[in-house]
Amino acid sequence: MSSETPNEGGHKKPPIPTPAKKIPALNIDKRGDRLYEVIYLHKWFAISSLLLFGFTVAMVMVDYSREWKRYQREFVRLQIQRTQRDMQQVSSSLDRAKFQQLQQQLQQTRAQQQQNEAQIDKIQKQLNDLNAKYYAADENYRFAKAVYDSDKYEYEEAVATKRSNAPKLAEKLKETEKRMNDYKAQSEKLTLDIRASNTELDKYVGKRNEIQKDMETMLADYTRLQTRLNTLNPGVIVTSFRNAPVFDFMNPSERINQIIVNNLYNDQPFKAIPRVDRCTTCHLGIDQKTYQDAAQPFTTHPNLDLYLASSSPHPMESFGCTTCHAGLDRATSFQNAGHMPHSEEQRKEWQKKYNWHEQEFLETPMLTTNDIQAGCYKCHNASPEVPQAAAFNSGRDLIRIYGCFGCHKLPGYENIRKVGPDLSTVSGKLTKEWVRKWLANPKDFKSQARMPQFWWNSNNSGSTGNTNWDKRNAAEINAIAEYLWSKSKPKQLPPGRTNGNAVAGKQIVETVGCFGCHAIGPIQEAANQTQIRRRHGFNLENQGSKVSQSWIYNWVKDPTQVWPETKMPSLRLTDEEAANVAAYLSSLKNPEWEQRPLPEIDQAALDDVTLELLRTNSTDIEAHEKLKDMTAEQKNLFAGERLISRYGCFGCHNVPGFEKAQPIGTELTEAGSKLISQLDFGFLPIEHSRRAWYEQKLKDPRIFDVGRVKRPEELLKMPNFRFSDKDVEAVSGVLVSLVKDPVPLEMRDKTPQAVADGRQFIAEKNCRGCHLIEGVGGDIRPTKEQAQWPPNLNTEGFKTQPLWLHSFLKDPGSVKLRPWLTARMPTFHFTEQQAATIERYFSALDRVDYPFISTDVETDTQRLSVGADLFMKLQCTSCHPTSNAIPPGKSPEDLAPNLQLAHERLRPDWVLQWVRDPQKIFPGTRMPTFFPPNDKGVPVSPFPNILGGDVTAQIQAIRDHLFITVGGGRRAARSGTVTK
Amino acid sequence: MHKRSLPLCASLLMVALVAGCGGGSNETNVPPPGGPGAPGGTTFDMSKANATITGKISFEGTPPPNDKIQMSADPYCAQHAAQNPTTETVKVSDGGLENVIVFVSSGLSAGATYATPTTPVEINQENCHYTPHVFTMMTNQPLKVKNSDMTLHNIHAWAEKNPQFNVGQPVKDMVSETKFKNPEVPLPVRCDVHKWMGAFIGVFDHPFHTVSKSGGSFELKVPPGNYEVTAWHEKFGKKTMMVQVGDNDKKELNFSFNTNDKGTAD
Repeated sequence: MSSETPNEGGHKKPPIPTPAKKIPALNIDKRGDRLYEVIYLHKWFAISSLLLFGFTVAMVMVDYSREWKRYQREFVRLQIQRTQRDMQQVSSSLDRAKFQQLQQQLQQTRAQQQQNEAQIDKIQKQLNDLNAKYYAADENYRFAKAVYDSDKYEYEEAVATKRSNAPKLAEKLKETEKRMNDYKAQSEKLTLDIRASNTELDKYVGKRNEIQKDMETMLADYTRLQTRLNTLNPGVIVTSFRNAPVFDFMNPSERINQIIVNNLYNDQPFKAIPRVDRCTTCHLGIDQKTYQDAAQPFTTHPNLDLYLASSSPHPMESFGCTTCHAGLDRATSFQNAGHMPHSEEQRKEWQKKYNWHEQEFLETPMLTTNDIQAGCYKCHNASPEVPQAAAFNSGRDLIRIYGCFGCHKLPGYENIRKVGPDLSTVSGKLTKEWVRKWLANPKDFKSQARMPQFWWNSNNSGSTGNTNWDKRNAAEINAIAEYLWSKSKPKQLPPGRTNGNAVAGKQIVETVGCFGCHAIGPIQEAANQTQIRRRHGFNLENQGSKVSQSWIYNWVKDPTQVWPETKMPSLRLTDEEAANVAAYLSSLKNPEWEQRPLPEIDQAALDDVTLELLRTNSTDIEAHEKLKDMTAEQKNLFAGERLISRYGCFGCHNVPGFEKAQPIGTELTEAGSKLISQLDFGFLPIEHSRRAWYEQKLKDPRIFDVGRVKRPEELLKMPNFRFSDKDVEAVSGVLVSLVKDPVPLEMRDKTPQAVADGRQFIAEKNCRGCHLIEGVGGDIRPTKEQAQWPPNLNTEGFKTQPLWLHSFLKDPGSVKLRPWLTARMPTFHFTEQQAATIERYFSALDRVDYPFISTDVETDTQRLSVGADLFMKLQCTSCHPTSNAIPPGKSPEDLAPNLQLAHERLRPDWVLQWVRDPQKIFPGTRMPTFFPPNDKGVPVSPFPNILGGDVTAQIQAIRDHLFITVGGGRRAARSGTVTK
Repeated sequence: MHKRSLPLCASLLMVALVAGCGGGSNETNVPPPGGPGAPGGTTFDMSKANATITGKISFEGTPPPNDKIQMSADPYCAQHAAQNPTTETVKVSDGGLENVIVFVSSGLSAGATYATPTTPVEINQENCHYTPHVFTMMTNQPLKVKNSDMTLHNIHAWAEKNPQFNVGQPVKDMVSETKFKNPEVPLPVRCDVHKWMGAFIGVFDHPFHTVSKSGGSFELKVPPGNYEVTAWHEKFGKKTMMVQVGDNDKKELNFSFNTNDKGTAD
């Protein structure tokens, strides 16, 4: 292309007039008449095209080298490694001796075969010949049959229409039929011949085929793995071709995997964008069992039984990943996906490894492993608890126990009674002085107090630099106390007994079941059992320094006479028991606290407070004038009322004058979707995330005021609950779960209404403080010997008859079922509807009929007598009495339930399952199985000669004896008669 | 269909180009033998346990008296049991404490597996009393439970790390069998019909355990190594000591309990 002489190959251009000699002509000899030198132009052209080419290649390469492709290649390597390992395992577990034996046999047969080669060849040839003949004959037969069918029709038609050629046609038909049958016979004969030849061939080669088949079966696993390996690793060239730019439109091995979940959208402004989860692009082993020990991102999901698997309740195809985990659905890189570290170490590790940093604009970062349970609630919001999500459920329990819903609107806590005591009768229970000391710092009196602290917090104490707070706080508290006393109308209660025995009282408190809801002082939580429900009732610590013995007597004797709305049930204490309990509880005192002086009331501070409150709806001058005219009492009452309104005391307590006041807190219905930019982090150096803000808020609600300049009425008002770190974690987990994500109906939890209502109700009544229900609860257990544990209510619906359960719930005191238990089932004074809620709940859980069931037992006299025999032989009465009397030499704790009650208490079908395997229903029960399983897991009776050792029949006989003979139950009306 | 077959053809073409005519593999190919990483791990060779640890569990002070048993609830028991029966909690002779489980609690090489004995361990209920009162066994070793009494016993293993076992034996000379999958020390056994009846099992995933005999003596055969040895008694709790033994070594290890020792568990 380039040329030395400018004239050669160049364009013919008109000669340029020879320039004046004065102008220096640069390289004029080389460029001739052009203004540029072609050779340079070519050079630059070459360089720029090379650069362009280079950059294009680089651009494509950069575009193609994606993080996720690296992971996919790595995963293929991992798969190959595993397959090779599996192949090695298969090959080492192969029965080599047997295989070699087969191989030898094969060789032998081959050798034999060689001897008979001529023969085999001959048979083979013959067989081929026969096959060809058969093909021809068969074809002939088919044609002949077709002709026959057509002739037949013609003949039939001719006969029907009475045509003259019918006889002729009949003859023709006969002919074709004969021909058809001939061919048929021919082909049938050939079939037989072929079969015979095959049999003969088999004599020579059959053995070989058999051996070969055996060998293939032995190698099946290995061959399968080999095939898999070949598919995984088709060679570098194939793989790189498949994934090469442009060619990858066909069938690349590296590709983005995505799950598009039906009807699930990302709610973007003005547009709902379908959710497309691409997590599985890198998390390639997530739904495969074998990658449990693989490193991330290939690790198997920790719970495939519950998630991802198509048989699990949350199959991957219909739930995706970000539904529960959050994060950016379409992202295909570690950073963009919104991964969040669960600890400081992990944060550092990620920063180093992935150059990870927080994403400022991602509103839905992934939930960390610590608060992953928060992802459940958006679907599981029909019932107050999420199955198996213990941390989340304890957060919900805490919200209920501490009454957050008193000030904040929170979903699932509607229509629940306020958590604090009724203050309309407060002067009958407490002294004004006690209340003033208590309000200053409730936790100082009771370390486990649920009442939060309103005064002397981080924004209203001396620590803010303003020393006036001490006086001001004392004045505020006093004003509130004065207001409450001015409105309180104490209930007239009879004088309570004060002559009890504290030692006996302690015994009662510790055994009768108080500890299902109450604790005394801090709770020592066992490693494997939470006792959160023991905070359902207030802590009994220092009760004697709070209320009088007479008041306690009246309270424990019948809580509803003191406060009709109380949640406290009646323990049916006798007068003496109540007196003893009162004596014990009033002995729990804190003398140091009692002797503490009351804070002084400073009139100037009261004036300040009053003035500030007056100013809120009058001018400064008016306020000053009003203040001048007010007496101290008026100031107190005015300030007290306004302060109660400011702090929202009525959120938890019934306060006279505030019956219709609206809660003062921020609505938290969508707390988990609140924009981070809307959260005021103040000047705190904490992480800017929702979770961090909620945790900080719960730890010290007013800390965000630190460093700000505010007037008293502008300060943050939320009181400090002094939650433990664990509690803070649990509650903030619930808050971040409250997202506005719309979830399609088909994804929502389908818990039956009866179960949801039941769970709500048992939570309100704290049944799980004593009982294990749905495997959760029994918080009282660590305070008792195992034999004294209140019953496990597993299978309660299937177990008890609706009528019995109903009457028991209504009046538990009337049944002496387990005389050995020191704890009593309290009388809750359930309404019919409430009792039915519980019964329906249990029945729905066990999917059994309710309320109409048959308790009649279908049996005959022979079976009854076998039952009686077995009942005696199994010595059931060693533990189970059959009357109310306690057998001689036995103490109540040695006994099991009275079997006379069984027929009216238990469902007949339940008894059959119970007797067969009691441990299955109540793990740890003292009831043994009499039909232990043998090696094959089949239950075996100790009496092989009774009813042929048939376990089912024997158990049935025992049940029948129990219901009819022992209990006097009804026999089923089999022959039209009902026998009693 | 068209869209799919095109890439497939291309891939096949490439495969053909690259691999050439590889041909089907011969069906009689023997797979290569398994490498060193073959599954199964190594089972410990018991002949290597040639070092001996012997010792005595001594008891200082006056042993506390055992509780008396009131058997009147079951006439059979009252008739057949010894006169003035007591529990077997504390058995001291020659200043030595019997029924103490002595076992290697740490120092064994990780990952080693030990052959499970197939001979069953036996516990008998005779005269409303368990024999033996304390014994040890290995995980998955069969345990035979016999009832030699003409009365109902239920044998209830109050296991925490294993599924509970609770079988009623209403017939004399009835034998039930069970196994425990997980190590658990102690595993208390009780009869819920006769509350005084109690026994303790030590279930281990290794064979280096024993129970002190009359006089408090014990002997353990272990492979050479550095071990923590624990002695556990139902009333006096746990004590641990360190011991180092060489090949064919003999070491003495003496534990001492007294009345102030308290059980931790149970």
